[in-house]
Amino acid sequence: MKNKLSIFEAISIITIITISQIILDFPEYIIDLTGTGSIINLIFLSIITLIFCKIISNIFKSFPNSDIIDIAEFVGGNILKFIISLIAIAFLFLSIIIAISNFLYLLKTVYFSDFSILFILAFFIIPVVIANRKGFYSLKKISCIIFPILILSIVFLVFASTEDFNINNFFPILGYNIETTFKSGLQNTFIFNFILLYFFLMPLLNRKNDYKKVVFSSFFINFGLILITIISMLSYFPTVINKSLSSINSLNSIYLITRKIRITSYLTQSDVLFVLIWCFSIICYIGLASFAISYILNKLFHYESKSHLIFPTSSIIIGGCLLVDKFNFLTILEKYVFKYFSIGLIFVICFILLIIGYFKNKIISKSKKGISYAKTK
Amino acid sequence: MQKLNKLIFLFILIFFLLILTGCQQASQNIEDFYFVVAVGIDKGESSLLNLTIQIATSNNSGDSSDSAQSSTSVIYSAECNSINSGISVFNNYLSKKLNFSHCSAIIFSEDIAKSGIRKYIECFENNPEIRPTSKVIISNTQAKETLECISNTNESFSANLYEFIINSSEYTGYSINPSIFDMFYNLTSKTKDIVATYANVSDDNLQNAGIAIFDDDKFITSLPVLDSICYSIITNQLNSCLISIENPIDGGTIDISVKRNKNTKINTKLINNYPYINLDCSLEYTVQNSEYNVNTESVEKLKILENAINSYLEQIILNFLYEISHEYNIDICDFQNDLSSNYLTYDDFEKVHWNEIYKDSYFNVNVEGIIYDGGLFAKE
Repeated sequence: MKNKLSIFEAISIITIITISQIILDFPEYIIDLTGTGSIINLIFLSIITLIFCKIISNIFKSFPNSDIIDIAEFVGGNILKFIISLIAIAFLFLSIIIAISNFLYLLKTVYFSDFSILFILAFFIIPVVIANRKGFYSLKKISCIIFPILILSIVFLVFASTEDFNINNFFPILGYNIETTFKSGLQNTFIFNFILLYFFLMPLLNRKNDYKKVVFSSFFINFGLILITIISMLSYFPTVINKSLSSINSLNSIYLITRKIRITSYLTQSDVLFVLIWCFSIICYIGLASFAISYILNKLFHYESKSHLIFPTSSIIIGGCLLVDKFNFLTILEKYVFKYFSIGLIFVICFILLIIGYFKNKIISKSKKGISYAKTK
Repeated sequence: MQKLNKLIFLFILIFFLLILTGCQQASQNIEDFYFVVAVGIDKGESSLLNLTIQIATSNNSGDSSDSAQSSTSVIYSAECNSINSGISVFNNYLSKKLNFSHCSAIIFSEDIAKSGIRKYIECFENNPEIRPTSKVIISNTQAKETLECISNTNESFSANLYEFIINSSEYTGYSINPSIFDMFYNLTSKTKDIVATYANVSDDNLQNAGIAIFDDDKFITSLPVLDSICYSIITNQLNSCLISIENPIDGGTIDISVKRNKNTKINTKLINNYPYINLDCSLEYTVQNSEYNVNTESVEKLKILENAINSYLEQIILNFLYEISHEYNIDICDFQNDLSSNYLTYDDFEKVHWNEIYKDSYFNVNVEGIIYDGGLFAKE
């Protein structure tokens, strides 16, 4: 039971992923693509992904002790299990390297311009290694402590910028044109990549009946956080026609908002407070993703102690971060590779696999008169 | 096993203790920096620019009654071709490194502002040390003279001095205080023309003297304080201000304190492809002088006074709007953004060609103000 999740713990972990991506300025890519139509685009995408989540939660009822790796094994044997595991590990490594590189760039530009990148990197890697060595229990407890503080920091950020709130900044409501908002805007589904966790969540839950509750409550919390961030960014930065926000703000837009916040005349540089809180979020995010890598590797190769896997994992992360030392390369990774990789993995590969698994399970249970995959597990 | 864990933990702590001394190499101590409070930019004689910085230095007079922030200031100037090269020149001959994290004002002379300020604004906005809340001031004289003028005031010098000067617009309405952040994004977005604080140096005194208006990034002219009040009313930035009008009851002049009651409602629409802009302003007034015996119990007289103030404000707002639109063709009040709410997509809105039709705008201003009180001794 120590390594199982309650509803609150599961929601905390899922929300930390979204908050970290908000901190890493992923909502900027939404505004870049759809401009003032971002709000409508996000509501449109949330309806699609909500239907998607409903289907996932219904299908997982048939697989109460399985995650997507088990389903891959069930559908295509060891080969498919191996392929899906490798793709998921590659995605997790990519997301960790992007998270660290992005946040390191911010820290190095603003606060530690004279410091070696390895020195700053150590502050992220060492806590992640220690947390992973301690096991999943320590990771989930840290997430539970940090979760309310992070929510408060995002909500405070939004309300602190209400001074600059101008409703006219949200118009024209459909953005550049209808095609961009609804057709090209489908690319923005990458922001809902926390859904990947739903494919791994079922075996980790304390009570399997809570799965539906966790899926829907975490979905609405995460959607709400993304929406208020988009509203805040739109009201703060005037939307520039034919010029993306990321081309103007070379630095993190969310961080730029914190720079303008003044908490009374005594605390004029409150951005440091936000960055300090966000450091914990990024460490948590990396810790959780590293744990997921160890978890998948352990499923593949059945190691005696999976906590030892953090050493090779962290070595690859350090190597990857040193490789992505050019900001242009990081932007390409975020804007093109991560975006399409997350859409492909979550909404195409995992979803199709789940559907095939569901029908295969149905066919088997029919042919064996009621003995389904779920019951054999 | 637990003993081993404790040993590892102890080793990590000692390791961090040792490597954290590495912070010494890149010292962030306060005594290693000169804190720049304001920057002045003028046209140079031998180079493109004359960059002036004002540094706050600690007061060593030993006067313990002064506040903690009290200090004196030193001004340095250097001829340079760009802001960054100027900063390097200062860093080269000063004993400490310059730090701009307390820079509260960036002052441009009229001369340099007329040739365009975009590259300077972009340069400052790109510097992580400069706060986005730093104010931009256009001075009628050389920026260096303006900085010297600030140093010579009898007030104790502090990093907040500029903020006090600029923030006086909140209770006088005589100017506005746009930050470097606002200017940068308005220059980039091109939906709204930029404005800055206009400062007037006369008789060794610096005072807010209205708004500096720009065509793209080039300074055109300054508008007087009455226009600044109008701008503040339209853009909902007015806190309070004082106006003097002719007393419609007894003659002479009467001082009225004006405050914002509700936000100004702007309705921009196109009629026959001409912008028709309707503004509804809601204000509240306080009669400031008691010598004219404004009887606050006399409803009729109050109504006459209210109408007089309303029509006076309507007239000056209309004059201001026609001046900026018909004479200068600049949209500093963001009417374009208001019109965009009538359209569903940018593609539809772009067909309007706002920049071409804005100069033919028609304005209708309704001011609805109420006299809330007549001061302490206003009753007969």
